Amino acid sequence: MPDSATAVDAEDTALIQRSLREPEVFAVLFDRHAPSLHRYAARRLGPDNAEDVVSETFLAAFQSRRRYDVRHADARPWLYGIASNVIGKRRRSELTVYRAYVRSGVHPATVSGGLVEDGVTTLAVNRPLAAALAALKPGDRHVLLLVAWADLTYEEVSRALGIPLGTVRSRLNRARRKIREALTNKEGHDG
Amino acid sequence: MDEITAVRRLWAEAPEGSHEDLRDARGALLAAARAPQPRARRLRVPRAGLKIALAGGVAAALTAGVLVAGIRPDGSDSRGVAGLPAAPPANARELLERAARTAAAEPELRPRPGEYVHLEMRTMSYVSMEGAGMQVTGTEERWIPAGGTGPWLSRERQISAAPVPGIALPSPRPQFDRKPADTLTETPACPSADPVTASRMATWPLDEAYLRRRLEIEAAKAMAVPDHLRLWGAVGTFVRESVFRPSLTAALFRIAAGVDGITLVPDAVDAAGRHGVGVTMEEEHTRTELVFDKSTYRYLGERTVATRDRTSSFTSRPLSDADIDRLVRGGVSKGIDAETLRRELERDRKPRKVTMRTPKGAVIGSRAVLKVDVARALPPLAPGVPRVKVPC
Repeated sequence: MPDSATAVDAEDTALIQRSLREPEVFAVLFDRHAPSLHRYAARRLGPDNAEDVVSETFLAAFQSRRRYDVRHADARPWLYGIASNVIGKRRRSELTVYRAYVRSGVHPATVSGGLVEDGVTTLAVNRPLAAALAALKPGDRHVLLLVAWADLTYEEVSRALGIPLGTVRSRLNRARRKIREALTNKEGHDG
Repeated sequence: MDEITAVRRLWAEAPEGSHEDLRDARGALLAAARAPQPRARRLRVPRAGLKIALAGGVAAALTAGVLVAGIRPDGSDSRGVAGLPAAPPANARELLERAARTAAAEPELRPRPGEYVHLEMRTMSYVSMEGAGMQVTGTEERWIPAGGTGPWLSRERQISAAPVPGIALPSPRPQFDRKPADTLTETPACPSADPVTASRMATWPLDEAYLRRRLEIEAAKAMAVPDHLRLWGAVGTFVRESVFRPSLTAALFRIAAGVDGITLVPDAVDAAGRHGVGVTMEEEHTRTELVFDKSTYRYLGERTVATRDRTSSFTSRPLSDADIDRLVRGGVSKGIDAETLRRELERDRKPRKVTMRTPKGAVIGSRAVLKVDVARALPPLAPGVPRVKVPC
């Protein structure tokens, strides 16, 4: 993690500790992280579900803030870990979003449906990608998307999901292999 | 194209959640934050968070410099207050009634717009580190803006560590950070936010019904203890926050006089070592005292003492390479030897059971009010002072 990020994030711990005495201070943590968490959830579940995911995640985080490990200055892995559980409970909605995209080329969180600039090429890559995402094991998908969409490091993913670092690596390798296969097949079809 | 990059680009144009998208979720969070907290235990120890941080033996070396003594233990003042009976109070209720009269007779500080009430306190806390423990003494200053608006500043310093009977001092002795820790808190002007902060308390009405309502809300945060202890804890919190405004403290003492279970102790000591007369409450593992001057009944401070030995254990979370690097960088910037620190931190790579002990007699938290006056302006702030904004 770059130093600038560490400096900015150093305050999360202080905020969480402070919120033990002044609960409303937790809203500062919300303002800091909710916009990007919403985006993450919207990519996985669509905007309607995203709002619920953000709400449930922050309520759960607030209720368990006493157990936050103060040695970790950055609260993002903790928040995204909670969000992963919340999203995991909505797996069916997630698969619906991906499959609908494969069929229609429209993702509800993107205005253009992903058809930016060279729409055709984008769709040609994105459709097999979405299909591959839908086919991943849920645990592998969490790891892949925490790395690719939430920009967590392997160690942070390990902390977020409460799994060993080795498991993060093996899940990510498996997910990458599936994605690679999907992209290669696409190239095979399209020439 | 690398697979991760391909996935990263997928639907990358999805925007971040807007104010509109997040309004309801934020509202729900705030509602939860304002509701009475179930299972919450009162955090009487001001530095509970620090205790956890230190527990792994890890950050010990990072936070701690040693031994400068400050205040002489003679800050009590012996001027009599007209109209107070000469005989010592017969019970806690009588003492609080006298303390209320004394506080009510004190001149109210009237800072002009743009000025601050400036408060100087001496603090004490118990810091536990894996089978070892120490009594840490420090100071806290506060600057509270006139009229209840604008940011207020808290400046804390750790001064010294002293042994506690019944437990070893940490070895090696921790180094204190000599720089003061500043926190600037901003209270918003919107009516929906109504936190208990010093700046807000500057404008609270003094009527008893209003204060009781506020106390009930505060007391409701601690559900796991009997009613009288919750109320006592809430009064303690309010007194602590309102010492800059004696008329408010006076009203709180009158309410405290009605709390069940309080008793009078003829000798009690505040964080500056000043002896006075106290009102005390026995809690599960602790005893809390409000300390007053023996002749004038002016409020001096408060103290929470452990009344039995306690041991608690938890499993530490492992440190990653990045955590260790960060802690070493932080330590080096405070003049700590990198190698020693790194060796110390290495053992926390794996989770392990950490046991913390609080011996009977340890002063878990204490403070003494040394001075209250008016300051023209905030002192110069350290660069990068943390700002906390109480949200609407």
